[in-house]
Amino acid sequence: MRLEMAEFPVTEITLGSEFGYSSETLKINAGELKSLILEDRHIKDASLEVVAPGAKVRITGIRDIVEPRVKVEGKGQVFPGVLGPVVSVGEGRTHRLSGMAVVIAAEYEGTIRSGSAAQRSAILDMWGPGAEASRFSALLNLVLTLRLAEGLTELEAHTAIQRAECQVAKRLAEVTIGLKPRRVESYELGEDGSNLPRVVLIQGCHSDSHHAHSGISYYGLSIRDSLATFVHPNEMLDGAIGINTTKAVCHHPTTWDWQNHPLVLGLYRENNRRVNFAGVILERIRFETHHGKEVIAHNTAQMATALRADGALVTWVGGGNAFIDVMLTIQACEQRGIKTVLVGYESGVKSGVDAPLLYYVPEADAVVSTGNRNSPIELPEAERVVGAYEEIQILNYPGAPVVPARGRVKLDALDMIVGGADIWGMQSWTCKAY
Amino acid sequence: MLTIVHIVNQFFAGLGGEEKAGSPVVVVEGAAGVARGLQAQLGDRGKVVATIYYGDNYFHEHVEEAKGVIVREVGKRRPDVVVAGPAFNSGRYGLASVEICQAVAEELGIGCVVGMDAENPAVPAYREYRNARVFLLPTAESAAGMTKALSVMAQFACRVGSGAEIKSAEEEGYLPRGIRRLERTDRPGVERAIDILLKKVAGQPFVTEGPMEVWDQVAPAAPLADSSSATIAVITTSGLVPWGNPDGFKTYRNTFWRKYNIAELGVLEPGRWEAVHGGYNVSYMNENPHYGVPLDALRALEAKGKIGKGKLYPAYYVVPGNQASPSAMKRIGQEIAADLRKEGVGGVLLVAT
Repeated sequence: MRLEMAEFPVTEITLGSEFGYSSETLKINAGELKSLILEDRHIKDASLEVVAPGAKVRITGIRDIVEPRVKVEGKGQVFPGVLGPVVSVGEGRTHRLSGMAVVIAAEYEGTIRSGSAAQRSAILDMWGPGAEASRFSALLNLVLTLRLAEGLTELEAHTAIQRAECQVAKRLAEVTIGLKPRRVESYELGEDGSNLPRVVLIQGCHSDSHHAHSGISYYGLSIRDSLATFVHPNEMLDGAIGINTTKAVCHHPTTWDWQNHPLVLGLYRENNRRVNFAGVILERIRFETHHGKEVIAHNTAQMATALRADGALVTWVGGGNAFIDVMLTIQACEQRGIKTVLVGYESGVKSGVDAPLLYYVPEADAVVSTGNRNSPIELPEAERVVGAYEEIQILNYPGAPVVPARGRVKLDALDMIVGGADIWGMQSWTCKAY
Repeated sequence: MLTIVHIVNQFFAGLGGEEKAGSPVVVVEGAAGVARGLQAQLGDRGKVVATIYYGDNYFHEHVEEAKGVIVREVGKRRPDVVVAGPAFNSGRYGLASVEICQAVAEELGIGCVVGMDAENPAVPAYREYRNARVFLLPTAESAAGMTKALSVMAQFACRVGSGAEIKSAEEEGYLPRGIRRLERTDRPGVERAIDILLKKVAGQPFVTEGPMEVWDQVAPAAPLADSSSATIAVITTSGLVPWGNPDGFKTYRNTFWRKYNIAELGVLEPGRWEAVHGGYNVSYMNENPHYGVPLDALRALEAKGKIGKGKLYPAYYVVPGNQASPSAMKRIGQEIAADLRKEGVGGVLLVAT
């Protein structure tokens, strides 16, 4: 299965009365885009604003980030099962607008007061220490701020937000249909009969099976108490994996991250050169009993063996006890002779003085640390706030106070910054031992 | 010219061997014993203004007193840096040096440099302290490596004493203290990961960026012989608190605990209690607080005599357990245990989520 990704870089965006793309400038018919969004009666209003890297702007109320893409050849369409029918994707040709992203923001208090099912929004600074902390500040961002109808349930709010961002993402990419791309990359898994080491990516996905949206979806279906499953990485490039768009935090991926998965792209770069990339195992984690954790670890290692893996890059989504599932998986793989490297962030509290990881197994002898999520940061005063909130709640508990979003903001961890944790090793963050 | 105080044991002060291990803390002006070797290595970069020595046995038999005297004497002289050892492979001397450096750094804020063999049994204690002001430099196993050790220690002491920026353990050569700092490195994580994986698959050596830790094992207390005669208390990490969260618990990373009264209650009514916890779906707990504190079941056991009448402790203990720092939870555990002791509680039902 071969996918050609045609790249159209964007370095400028203008909002006006027509769509167009030339010389890296994307022209957007703002009125038409807004009408498209407002077709959904759950959305009362929408506004668009372009924010460039370096601007002293703080974006608030962020729910998700997505890269504009559209399929021009091959079966199906991007965001299958969400925008359109469930048709297998991942082959043919897809256009992408690189260097930019759609950042979707919305004010939404939700019906759930606290706990893991409660909504959470994030912020992003486009300059200064806050920008330094996130991979998203380097993108030219089109901020789409929605005003949702009153009284939506969490699932209704998610559905409205996700549909709006995906529709916008696809509509923008459509502007490039018929045009000549800057470059085309081909993505195809490793050849048979290769002598190179076969490598799989084991992607742990935290899912809350009893939430309305579990946190991770495949072709629009929430993954709940599933066992491990094989996914072709090209499906990820075509937007087959989605998230719960009522929640954005530093240590969870955005839709953009699933489309641009650094470990997938890294293994593709090395494919047929130093590795034979055998595919992706999506491993549902955060089983709620130790028994469940042991079973998923065995099952995932079994699947890796069936894929004849010599090695595995292992990473995860989530926080807390889901990490135990990951470590048990590493143990199970190593016991079967599959060499593993864990890629992930640390959680050492008190600026790295406390234990960096939650759980340990002796077999996890190869770890790439992508930094510490519990690093305090002080954000300077912004010139402008763009997005859903003028005031933000820094601590996430019932009754927590609000502070003006434009002013200086002191955070005891990176949680509130979208992209604040380098979850999958896209950047050069790490922790050094002192 | 930097000022240094060098702290050594009786043997390296030139006083004598085991037979003098009982000597108390003594201060000598200027460099004495091995401190003279340190002074030679320092040259005119620094001056050893005092040598403090103690007997190994004396120190370990009078730890608080000995530390107190040493800290006071160092405090009087306010050196730019303190040097201890080198202890080579001597465990007692190594541990005394680590304890002394910890006390000096903590109480006086003065940077310390200590030398010993990397396998010295005192090294874990140095790591446990995670003190950003104390640096342990690895040395040879025995005093045959004295000159080299003093040279390295003198050099490092000058840098610490002059307030120079000390980089990561790998770059500088000291043993890491388990303090981990968020930094950029030269390549993205994905490239580092693939390189390490290929080395591992090929059976070649590699360096991990995240050394595994080992948790200590705790032996549980013996079970109660007779549950009906003991006072029983409930501790919960569910984060269940009176509605409105009066003490302002966060949904993660809490650093304190509280007790809430259940004395007159037979049940926990929904709407009067709520769970503050970011790690699970709290709506079930809010609808039925007994998932966090099973008061209804406990009152039934009281009525049946399994728990003695009036023996259910009149409050429950809570800290939301989500994403807490292990060291904070250790401290909280110790504090709650002390309170349970004080209150005469004999058995605990620990309800986790």
